[in-house]
Amino acid sequence: MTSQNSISFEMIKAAGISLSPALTQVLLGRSDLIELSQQAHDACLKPQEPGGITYTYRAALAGRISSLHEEFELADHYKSMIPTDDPAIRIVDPSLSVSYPGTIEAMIKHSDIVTKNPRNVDDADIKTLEANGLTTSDIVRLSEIIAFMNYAIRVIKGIRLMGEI
Amino acid sequence: MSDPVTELTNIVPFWRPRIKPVDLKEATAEQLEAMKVTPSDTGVGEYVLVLAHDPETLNARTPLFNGIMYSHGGLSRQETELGAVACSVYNRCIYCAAVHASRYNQLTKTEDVIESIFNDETLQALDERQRNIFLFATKLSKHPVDLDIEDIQALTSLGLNLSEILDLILATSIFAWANRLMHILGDPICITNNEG
Repeated sequence: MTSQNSISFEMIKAAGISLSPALTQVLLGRSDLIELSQQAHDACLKPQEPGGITYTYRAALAGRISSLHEEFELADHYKSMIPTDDPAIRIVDPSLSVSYPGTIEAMIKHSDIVTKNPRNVDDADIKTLEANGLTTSDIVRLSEIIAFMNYAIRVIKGIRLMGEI
Repeated sequence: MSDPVTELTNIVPFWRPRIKPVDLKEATAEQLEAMKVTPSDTGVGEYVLVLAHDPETLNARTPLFNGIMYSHGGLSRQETELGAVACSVYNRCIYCAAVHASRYNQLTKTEDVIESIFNDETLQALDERQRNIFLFATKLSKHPVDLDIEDIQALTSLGLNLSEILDLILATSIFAWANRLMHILGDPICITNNEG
């Protein structure tokens, strides 16, 4: 358990937000939800059972989704979790086009469309993941990583703006 | 097989997964724990059985979702639902929109606000507070980079305090998550056309 007066959600600090005492008090009113957000973060980024999606690719996708939302400090945070000589580090920057093995390429494309335009996703997109070798469990794992990041980044943006009042 | 529902509705459809759910009879101890299944419980929904493919995340997500939607204090239940509806309507997650639109109607004993959100771009039936909450949540759902301090100030000027605004941010954001599971991993199917 966290102490009574600290905020346990590491993404806040990683995004470069420093909480004022007043905003800290507001967040402490929902400390249970902040703590569960951190637990969800760990389950998506560093699960005990990563299945077919390694920690490196999880960090790369989290960094890329951060970049797509112009959260560059957060993107760098995830980039720092990837070995510097690993080509996956380039995934973090959506402006770099590189070719990856089919499964990785499919995960990146899926992550981009689900992040930017989820309403346009249909059954064919799931079939594409399957055709590229993702197992059913990995499709759910991938979906959770993408969906969690889209949640967390909105929470981060909101908290930052509340701090600017 | 029935075609998916594509129009916004407050009649809750059936959710048909696009991938194979976990078979409850073959679920691991960790999956059962994440699904909060008791030995006598056989009524686990398809959605939870799909998410049980990643029990670690489900284990944190379920209490987080429930805590955001049903905690006491802070933003009212109905305004929490309005954030959920705004996000789900923007993302065209027909299933989530239907569930939370119908909850909103139950809580408020009205139908005109949801009717307006579904069919009237001018949101005529919404009062100023409802409209600002809805527009804030829509903007946060659409492209959060566009959100600025004036959007927060619009809410504080209508009397929302920071705890309520945090709750609205959480309620909207948890649907940025929920929609990206529900709308991605399954289809909403008209309840009268299926046997399930």
